[in-house]
Amino acid sequence: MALSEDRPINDRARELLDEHRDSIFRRTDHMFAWLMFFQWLAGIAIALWVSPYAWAGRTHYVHPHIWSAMVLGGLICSVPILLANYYPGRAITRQTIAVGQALASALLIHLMGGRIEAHFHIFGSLAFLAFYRDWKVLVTASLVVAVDHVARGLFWPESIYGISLFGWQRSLEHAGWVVFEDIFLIYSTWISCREMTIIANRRAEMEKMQAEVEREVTERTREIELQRLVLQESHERLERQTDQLRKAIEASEGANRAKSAFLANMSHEIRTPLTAILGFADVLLETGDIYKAPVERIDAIETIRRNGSHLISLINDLLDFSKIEAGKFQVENLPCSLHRLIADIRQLMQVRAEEKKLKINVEYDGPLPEMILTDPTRLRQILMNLLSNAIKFTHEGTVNMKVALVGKAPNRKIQIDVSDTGIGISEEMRDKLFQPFTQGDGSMSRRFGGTGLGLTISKRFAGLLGGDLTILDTTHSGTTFRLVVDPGPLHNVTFQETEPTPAAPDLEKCQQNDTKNALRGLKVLLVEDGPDNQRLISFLLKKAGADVDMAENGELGYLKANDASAAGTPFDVILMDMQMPIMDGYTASTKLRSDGYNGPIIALTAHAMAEDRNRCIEAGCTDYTTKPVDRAKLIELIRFHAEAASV
Amino acid sequence: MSDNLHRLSETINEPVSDSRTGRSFLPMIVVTWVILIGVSFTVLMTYHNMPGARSDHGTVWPANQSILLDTQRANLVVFIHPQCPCSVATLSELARIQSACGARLNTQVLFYSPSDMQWEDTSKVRQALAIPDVQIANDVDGKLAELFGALTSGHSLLYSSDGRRVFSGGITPARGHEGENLGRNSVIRYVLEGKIGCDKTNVFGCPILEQPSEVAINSRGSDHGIE
Repeated sequence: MALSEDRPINDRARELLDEHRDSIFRRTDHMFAWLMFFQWLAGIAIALWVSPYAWAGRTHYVHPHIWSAMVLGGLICSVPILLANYYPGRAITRQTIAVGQALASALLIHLMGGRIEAHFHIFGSLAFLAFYRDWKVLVTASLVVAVDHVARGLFWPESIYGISLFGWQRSLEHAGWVVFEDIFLIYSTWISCREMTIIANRRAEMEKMQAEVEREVTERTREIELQRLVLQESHERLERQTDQLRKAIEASEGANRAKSAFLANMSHEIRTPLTAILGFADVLLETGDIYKAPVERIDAIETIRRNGSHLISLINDLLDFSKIEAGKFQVENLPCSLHRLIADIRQLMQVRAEEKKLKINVEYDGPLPEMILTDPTRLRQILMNLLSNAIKFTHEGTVNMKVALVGKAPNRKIQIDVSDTGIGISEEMRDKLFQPFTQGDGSMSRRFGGTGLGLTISKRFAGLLGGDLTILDTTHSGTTFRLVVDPGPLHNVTFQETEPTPAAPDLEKCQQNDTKNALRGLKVLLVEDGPDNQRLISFLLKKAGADVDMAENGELGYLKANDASAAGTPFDVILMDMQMPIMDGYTASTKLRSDGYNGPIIALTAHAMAEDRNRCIEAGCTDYTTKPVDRAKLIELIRFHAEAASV
Repeated sequence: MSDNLHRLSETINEPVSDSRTGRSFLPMIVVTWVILIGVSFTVLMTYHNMPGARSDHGTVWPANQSILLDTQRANLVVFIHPQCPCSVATLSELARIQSACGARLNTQVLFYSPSDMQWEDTSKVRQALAIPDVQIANDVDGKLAELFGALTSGHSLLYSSDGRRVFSGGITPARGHEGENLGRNSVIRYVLEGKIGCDKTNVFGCPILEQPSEVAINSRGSDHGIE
């Protein structure tokens, strides 16, 4: 029985020792069974060889030695062999074997006429009996040997010593040599038994340890199995959640795609009529004797124009916000003059400020880099939003811009503080201000207009430009917003001190004057399917002095352009609407480029997404502008590309 | 045998009652076994110490034409059956006598030689030939053995130079056993010292004659065992 943890270790050691000894006894019993069997056969064989027959004159008969070898030898080995087979491991078995082996020696000595060489069989037998590791067996065999020597020495000395004279001395001498060997054999047996005891103790200890380890392993295995089950359950739950999440993401992406498509379509569909609305509002204000018109009519036209502009602004904000939210907004990194940018913005916002009798001050704190690396469009958008808000919420006073370069190389930043003397922002609204669709309170939208997206978009843009937009300070007497942007590497950039820029003249008035004959002599092909926009854009271009030809779709435009080129009077500029029936602007542009048309093609589209611009450029367009058309910008664009092409 | 051992080992695990019965008989079996061995040893010893037949009628050198009496020295006549395994010891003892007595003893070994058998080249003959100063002769059909009264192989007869028989018997202590014995010592003592210690000993060996005449046998020699 293996050792359990509750069982005394000594009991198990004793049991193991007994098992080991029993194993040795059984094994040695079997070995002796074989030995005695072979001794018997060998005795018969020797007798047959030495003295097969006894003789009487001419006749012979089986020698008595043969019979004695067979009968007496068989008798001697019979019981030990039977006991070794039937009762191996018993004390009586090995004692009988000891007696039998000693008697076998006695018979051998007798049959060999008491030759001294035959006595060595005794020593060999004792050594073999020591295999039992049982001193009692050695004692028994030795006693039999001693008794045999004494008895036969007394009655038949010639059979054991080869001489007929008996001497106690000789028998004692023989017994003495046997005892001599026994001392060493018994000592080695004792040592061996002691080692067996040690081995048994160690094995019992090992079994105890093994039992403990097995118990530990079982417990750990159970724990691991439990953990595995928990993990499996978690894994399955996670897989389910992942699956749900994947489906949700797919649904979300689908919804996002649908939203993007919707926004693009809506943008296109709203911009197209707005182009006509705003454009013709401008036409109404600029043509005829508008000064003779009643004030109410002019106000009505201005209202149409203002609301149209607001609608455009709203659409632009929604598009920007949508792209930012979708993570698809990409900023450019272009070299840009910060001074020029700020001067332009100031000039643009000056008109609105003057309407409210406000003053815009720009202060440059220290030298600024001549050029910075940023996205000028987005920076302009942020600053215009900040200034627009400042003007919107300020009734009297000033709007200040303070521009500075802060920080230490290489982490220098452009810092622009926009302060106003407006109504300020309450503490509870400060945190919500940059959240989408949030204004000071619900009434703000009604009082001041706006979508509530401006600051949210501006803050996101500031982040994309490597900085941030924060509220630096706000009180009832005004608010300061701080914009920080990354100017890019400034290693080889020239720094310059800047004087306060004087108020710029009215840009629009200048532009109006400039656009009058800007396109004189230019031959322009307008490819546009919408009749309203056809009329509006052709009116604007013609007013600017251009010679305008029109086509209703891409295919007609393509044919007209080719015909003109073939006739040797190619168009200077082609204005190409991109979304048209029969053949769209992309296909027409691609075909024209593949036919070798080198003149400028300016894409004109109500799609305002960034990817639309890329798509137009890839189709072969030279430049791109969106609807509703900015009259001055469009004319400038046409003039620029016409001049560039002629050069 | 290994399978048998396994089967036998398995029988130990058989029903307890059988095992206990077997165990109770074990000491009796062992004791019986020891007694049987003791008896067998005793029988074996008895056989080994049982002397062969002999005839002690003639006290002088018998007249014959085959072997002659040496009148200058003692004469030792040894009769051997060439097939007797026990006579190896006799020839070994004879070699010891010869080494002790040398030329002072006229030794003749007579091998029983039936007329219809070819026993001239047995191991005993070769052993006798190897002994120095020994004359070998064939005793055709055992005539001389019967004449000298030597009926058992190994029977040795010592005669004085004047033809008197001074010793008759075996020169081994037991059947097939060498070693110190009265016969050998008596022969050597007489040859070397001229004194007779013992004139008769038992002879241990195979019968030389198949059917010796009843007249010839006068003793099994058991009464000559004691000096």
